[in-house]
Amino acid sequence: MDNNPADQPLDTTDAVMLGEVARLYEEVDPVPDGLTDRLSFALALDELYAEVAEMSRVPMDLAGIRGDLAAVRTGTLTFTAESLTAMITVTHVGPDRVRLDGWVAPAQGLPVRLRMQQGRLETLANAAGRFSFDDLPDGFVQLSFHPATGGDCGGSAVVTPSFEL
Amino acid sequence: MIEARPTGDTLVARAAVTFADFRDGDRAAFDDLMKMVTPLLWHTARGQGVDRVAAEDVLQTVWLSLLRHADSVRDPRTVVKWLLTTTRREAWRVRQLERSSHLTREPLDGSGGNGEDWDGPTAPEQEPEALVLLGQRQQRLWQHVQQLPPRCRALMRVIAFADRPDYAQIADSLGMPVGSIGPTRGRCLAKLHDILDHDPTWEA
Repeated sequence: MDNNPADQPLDTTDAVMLGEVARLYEEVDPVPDGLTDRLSFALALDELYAEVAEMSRVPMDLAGIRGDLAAVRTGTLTFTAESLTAMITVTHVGPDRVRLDGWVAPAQGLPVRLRMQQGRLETLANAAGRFSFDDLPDGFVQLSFHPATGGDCGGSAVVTPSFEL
Repeated sequence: MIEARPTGDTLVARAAVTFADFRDGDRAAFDDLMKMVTPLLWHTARGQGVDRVAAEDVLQTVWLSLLRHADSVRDPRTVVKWLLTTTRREAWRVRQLERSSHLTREPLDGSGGNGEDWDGPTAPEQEPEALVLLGQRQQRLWQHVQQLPPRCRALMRVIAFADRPDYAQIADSLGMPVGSIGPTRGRCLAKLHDILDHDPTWEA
């Protein structure tokens, strides 16, 4: 004999209650519109990579912290991986146009690729680790860094999560 | 440890088949898997107390990691467990970072809260702006859910989007003790029943 409600089998009242909990959270905290599209974009990269860098946002405008991604003005982002770290700043240079300036450490002249919804750009970081992309359209982008390998199969690239310019 | 043995047409079983397709060379199956499991991971990350912007970043990191480490998931039937565990860890890491940068606002008390092995939030969830738009019944349910211990609340909001045969494996993946839910009702759901029973205006 056990009357502890926690030991009763799940029944239809539980199913109804959990259904109400699901509807509640769909109302108060829904999966953001377009999230799966943004994830698809980030996952559509066609290159081998060794590491996914951890992304941290450095908010410039504290009022912008709250709310959805679309409402956040990108200022400075840092990316941390085992093999390198990078920092970028995004500056608005015109209506819907942005400039991206970056630094990678340890400083090295390595190829940096920028993948956009519209296509792909590539540049070289200089010996001081600086790189930039001028006059980009806004939208979602994803960076990848390609350090020289010791003759291995080239699987040392570091990719970032996608972020909005 | 709970054996991963999904049966029938549940999320865990569908995800296992789709992930196996991907590993057999069907690249598009990865997108299908992502769309299938993302709602569960969203509520996992949010239940760990990261904000909506950070939760999007957590999900990106988790999915990019799975794409990179797909070979390390030996048994496709454990892919949902891998995803949930990774989401929980990544959300925890992000919260630690946020905490360390907000020390003045939220001092670390080091007490571990309620003494349970719980690394998630301890305060009620932030009152959502959408709350005012809800009907009375949903507003009341929100208030009742907020009375649950935080780890029960985090479990409930994920379980609510899952299929019953998967409950036990999901609870295990979220770090809840065996028997938290499924096949029995478990402590958290029993507590919610109890709270609702004590609301005279609540009609089941």
